[in-house]
Amino acid sequence: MKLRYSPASPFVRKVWLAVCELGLEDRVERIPTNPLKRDDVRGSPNPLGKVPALETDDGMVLYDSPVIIDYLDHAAGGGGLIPAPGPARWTALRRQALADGMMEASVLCFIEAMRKPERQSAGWIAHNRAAIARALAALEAEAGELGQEADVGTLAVAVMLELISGQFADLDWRTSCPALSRWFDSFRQRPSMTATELVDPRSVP
Amino acid sequence: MKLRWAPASPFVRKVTVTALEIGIDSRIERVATDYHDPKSDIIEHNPLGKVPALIRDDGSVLVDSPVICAYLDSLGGDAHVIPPDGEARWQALQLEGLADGLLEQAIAVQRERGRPEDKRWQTATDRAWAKVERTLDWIEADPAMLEGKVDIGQIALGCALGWIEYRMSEMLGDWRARWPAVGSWYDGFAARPSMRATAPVAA
Repeated sequence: MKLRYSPASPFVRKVWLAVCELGLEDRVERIPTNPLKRDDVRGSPNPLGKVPALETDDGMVLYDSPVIIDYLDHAAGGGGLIPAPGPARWTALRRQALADGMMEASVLCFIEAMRKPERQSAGWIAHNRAAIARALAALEAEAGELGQEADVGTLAVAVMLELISGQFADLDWRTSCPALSRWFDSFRQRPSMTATELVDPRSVP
Repeated sequence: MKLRWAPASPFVRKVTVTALEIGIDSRIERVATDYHDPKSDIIEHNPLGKVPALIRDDGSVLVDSPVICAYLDSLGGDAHVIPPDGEARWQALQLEGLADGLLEQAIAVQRERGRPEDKRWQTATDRAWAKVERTLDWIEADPAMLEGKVDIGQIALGCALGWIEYRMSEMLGDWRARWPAVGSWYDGFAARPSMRATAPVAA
């Protein structure tokens, strides 16, 4: 399998953590792709020009990180990161959707900040920041139930926290979310998380 | 269960079409939501402030249409729109990813057009719309992906095209001539009772 990869994409990072947690590193080749570079986008098998995209050994191309992780989970035998149908499944997928939504809001803020200052919308940035702050409060309320097992939900929450720690240092989430902060300090010690790191998109060539 | 709902949202429509296709729509109570209103109570259910959000009977809330549709599909209705495994599953989810992705780009274009004139950025519009067109080219080149019984990929594409045609038909132009296979598939799909019952109407 081939994974269209950028070290600056939180959604790619989530997929790569899944690859590591499932023990599939030897079966997934990473192809560097910068979604902000036109040549990389044109050469990508994804008409939307997005990363991550996974080319399967059958030649199928899958996009959107939840679908890619679903596929990898099946390829590894099933049930490794996405629990079988039942309450645990919907808890994991619910958390993943919430964390992904927060990461999408972060990416929208980042893209907005790339515009010329006179074309930026302060209201749009504030709208997305407020959504992130509210979702953090919701996660703080369930931090005690997250547990240290890796699944699509906990992996997504961990990557989201890495992302906003870098992008929104002024949100000071560790002060407003002490239980989530303790959970993260423990979870981030996993070998999958320490093996690579999320890099600042401005530092990617 | 309760669905936080808005009449013209294409992602809400995906959920309702799914519920109708699998025969569980009568189990869903709809709660109208004006998510543009900063005072809306949607944030009590979805901190991200978006619809659709599904409030399950145990009080937990699912957000994001792919997860909500997958949950509804698991409830054991008369039919399924998400194959459990095998190639059919990945084909359906691949098309759902393409359709949701092209819809997100179209929404980005619409948002850009909604900005005050001096804050618009034509390059952003052009890039996003080019992705919509490239994705339609991609599907047109491989119309086999639209065949087979109704699945979540077809539902997503039908709702995406329905919204773009409803909101931004002038951007699409004569799209049935440019993408004839997609156009003829869409016209057939849009005639399904589930799609006719959920067609967006002008407020």
